[in-house]
Amino acid sequence: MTPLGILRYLIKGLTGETSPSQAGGGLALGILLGLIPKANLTAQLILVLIMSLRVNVGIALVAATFASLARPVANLIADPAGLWLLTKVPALQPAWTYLYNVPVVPWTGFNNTLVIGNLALGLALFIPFYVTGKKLAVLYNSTIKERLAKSAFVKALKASWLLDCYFKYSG
Amino acid sequence: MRWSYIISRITVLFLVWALFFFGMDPALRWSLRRAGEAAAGAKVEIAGLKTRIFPPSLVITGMQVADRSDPFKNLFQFDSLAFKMEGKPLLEKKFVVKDASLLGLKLGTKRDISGALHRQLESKSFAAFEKLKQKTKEFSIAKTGEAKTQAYEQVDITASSLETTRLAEKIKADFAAQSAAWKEKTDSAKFNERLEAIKAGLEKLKSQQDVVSRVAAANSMREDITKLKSEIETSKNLLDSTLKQAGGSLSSLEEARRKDLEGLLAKLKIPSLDTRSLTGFLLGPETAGRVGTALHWLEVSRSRMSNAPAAKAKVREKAGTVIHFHKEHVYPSFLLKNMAITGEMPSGDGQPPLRLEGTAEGFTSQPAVYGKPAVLRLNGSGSGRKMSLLAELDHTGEIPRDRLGMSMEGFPLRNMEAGSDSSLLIRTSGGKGSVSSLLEMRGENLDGKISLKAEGIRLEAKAAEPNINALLSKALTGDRNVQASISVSGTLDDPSMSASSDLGEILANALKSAAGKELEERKKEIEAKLDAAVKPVKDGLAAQMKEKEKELLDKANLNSSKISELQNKLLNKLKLDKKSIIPEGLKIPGLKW
Repeated sequence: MTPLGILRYLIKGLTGETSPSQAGGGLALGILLGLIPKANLTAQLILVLIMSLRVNVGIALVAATFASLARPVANLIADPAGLWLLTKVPALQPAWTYLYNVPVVPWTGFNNTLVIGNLALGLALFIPFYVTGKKLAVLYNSTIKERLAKSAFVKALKASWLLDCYFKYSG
Repeated sequence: MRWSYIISRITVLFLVWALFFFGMDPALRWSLRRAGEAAAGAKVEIAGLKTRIFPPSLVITGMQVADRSDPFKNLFQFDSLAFKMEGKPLLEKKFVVKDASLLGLKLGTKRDISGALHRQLESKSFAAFEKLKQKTKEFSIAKTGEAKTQAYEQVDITASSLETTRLAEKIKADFAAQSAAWKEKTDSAKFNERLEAIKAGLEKLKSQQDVVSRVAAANSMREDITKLKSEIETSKNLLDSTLKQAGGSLSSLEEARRKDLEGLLAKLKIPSLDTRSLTGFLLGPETAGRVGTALHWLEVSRSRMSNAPAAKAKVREKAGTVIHFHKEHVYPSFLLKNMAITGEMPSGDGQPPLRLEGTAEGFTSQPAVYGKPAVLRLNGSGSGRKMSLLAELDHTGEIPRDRLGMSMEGFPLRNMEAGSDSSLLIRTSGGKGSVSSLLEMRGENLDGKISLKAEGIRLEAKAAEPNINALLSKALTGDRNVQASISVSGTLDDPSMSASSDLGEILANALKSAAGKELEERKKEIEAKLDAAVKPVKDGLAAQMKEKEKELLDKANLNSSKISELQNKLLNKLKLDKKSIIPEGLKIPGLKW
């Protein structure tokens, strides 16, 4: 197999899940991954989760990139929210203390206000983004996809190998 | 299941892992360099950095930290720094270095490329000591020609422009506030009310027939009187200390007057020619630079090794706040248990470099968790020279305390310069010198002493005016021993330094004879003008303080005598009662006269 062939094979694998729920799942998990600071185990676990579940990885990675760019704004809410969760909710204190005492768990960065705050924010946004992603996928599959494929712009782009293989394998 | 599904995902995960695996060392090296530059305010270079997971370790090689005040010199450099970390704390994301070694440490080595950075370093100590350095440099000497032509009558010597007046006004306001507070305490209606209540109680006691309740009432009154008396005594002591403090602050006016005089003489380009100013001019800039650097590093250590809210707030902006929860055997986030140091210090006189050996213990990001101060020891000796450095950083309590002691003995003093060639420059040749210094920083308060000793040195003076030059050369002929001492005090924001030396005295005498009577007369004239401007304020303050002192003491004594009088009355009353009511020798249980 040529290098281009390998790349096509990989892209096919990553963009194969195109049902509305798989696209919605990819969007919601991608947003969650993008919001969380990356140098901790939580972000790595979410990445592994994205790779293990049958979600659209392409959408997830694009969503993660955009969410990462929006993180400075999200931090304005996430930082105080994280501080509140970690210090001001007595009911959660035993759980935090327990987790703090479990080996390896501190590497998740759960005791960092930005990690826990953004995780909470990402989880709160999970359902809305999942539903939005699903609806957008339905809309795309029913109306936009065909029109887009027929447009002169895409036809011209199809000459390029990257989009060619996308349209070839995305069903 | 499709193979492309599995392989593509594994590939992405592998790419992420590879990014971390291969990118961690360069990223860590970059972060270390940036953090080092932010702390040093000068360029930091790192030749190599290697991390290992099994066993967990970190090795940094070829690190150079440039000197901010002398960009073509390195503050220090080392060949390698190796950390071996404990595995168990790593599981808890705690970096505990059990053994470390710093090899090939070199201090003050030369650089080929400038180590200056374009961005400004934010450092309280650097800024404060730079100001102090400039102040000591301002001293103008041997420009008698200019002094003669200055229209000194035009220099502003009005009361409002002087530091002495400003300080006097401040003392006045402080004293007024303190005395008002004290007056309010003694004049308060509460005190009078209590006094009246005791008086009334005493009157009531006379009419009481029942012996037991009379004794009980008398006991209660006795307690009230004792309590009030002790409160009055405490207030009197407070007044005494307030008055003593006020007296002490009056003496600080003398220091302000001296500074005002120095400022005026500098404006008129008339050298003050006193020992302290001359020593300050010669040794001040260099000392201020070095002390500023030392304090800057203590400041850096405080920001990295403190649990103070300010340090936390800084972390919050960038990477969030890490909250620590209860744990039985807790490790600090970072701890350097023990590090062995070896290296050398260049001698600069053709002699072999001084071999250095030392240790660093207890350097941690959470001193309160570790509970022990961080200690750095560095010793060196060889070829009749000795060097020792001891830094003790105690950030375990609420108020951080840092001590930095350094001593050097037997160091050559060839081609060292002090002063400035625009007014007076002293150059040394031959001889040996020793320095011992102890600098302490408790909270923001500074306290330090630096002693310098030079033996068998030859001094050469270069002044702007030829006649002064000749006189100074004559005064400085032959080998001599010189001693100097510099004191550092004040706070990190507002430090102050004072210096004295026998060299200053020699130079002052020589300059006085060179500048002749003329300068002395001009100086006296300025002094008289200054005193005339300051006198009304100083006299006013002294008179006001005397008046207030009398008023407050009278009041305090009056209160004291009132309460003593009441106490005597009560005691007399009790004595009489006891005689008339209880037969001699009879003891009634529970009754206390």
